[in-house]
Amino acid sequence: MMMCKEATRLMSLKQDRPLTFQERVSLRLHLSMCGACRECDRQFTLLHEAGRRFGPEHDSEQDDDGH
Amino acid sequence: MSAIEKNESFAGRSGYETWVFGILKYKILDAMRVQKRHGRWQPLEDEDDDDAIDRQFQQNGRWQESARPSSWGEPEAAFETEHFWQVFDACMIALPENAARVFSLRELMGLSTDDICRELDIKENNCWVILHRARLRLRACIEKGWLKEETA
Repeated sequence: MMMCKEATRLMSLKQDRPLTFQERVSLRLHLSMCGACRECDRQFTLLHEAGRRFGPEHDSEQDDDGH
Repeated sequence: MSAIEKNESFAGRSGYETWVFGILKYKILDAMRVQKRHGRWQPLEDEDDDDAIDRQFQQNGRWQESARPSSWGEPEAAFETEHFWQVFDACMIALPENAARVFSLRELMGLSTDDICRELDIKENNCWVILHRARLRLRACIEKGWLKEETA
């Protein structure tokens, strides 16, 4: 069973590249059971959004897994 | 940093944001180019930030009680608050140098990790590790500086 620390690694990773099927499933499973990690996931996404606000030159790269 | 000190005389939120990031962006790019030219860029140097990350988790990989993330509310609402951006800025500055650099290239400038690796000549895996740490540091810092005060 994946623990929170490892889950945050995947949450971070998904901001940078699409997760593999395996990664996505483990992360989803963990998030479904862990409220703190759900918040962390939202925070990472918020940080990502915050950055985008400043870069009109940002290209529309890969998004996450339909979060 | 000067960006925070001057903030008082700077009216207009979106102006403030653009201005801070404009400065950051060029400072980072300049520093990077200079360092590359002089061969002083050392991406693999460990900045000793494992401790800061480890402190957020227990031995078994669960969150420390004191570090458990709480809700920041709606992103849009946060983005509307000038205070959020001030804390964000302060937390960016508090990041270790390499973490700040890679995070900025990725999130502020929107480069892909692939591009960043090529630019900085580091392995992509290394890039992801740096970004993971940077995000954990940032979230802890922002939560401490922003949320606690907002709800106080």
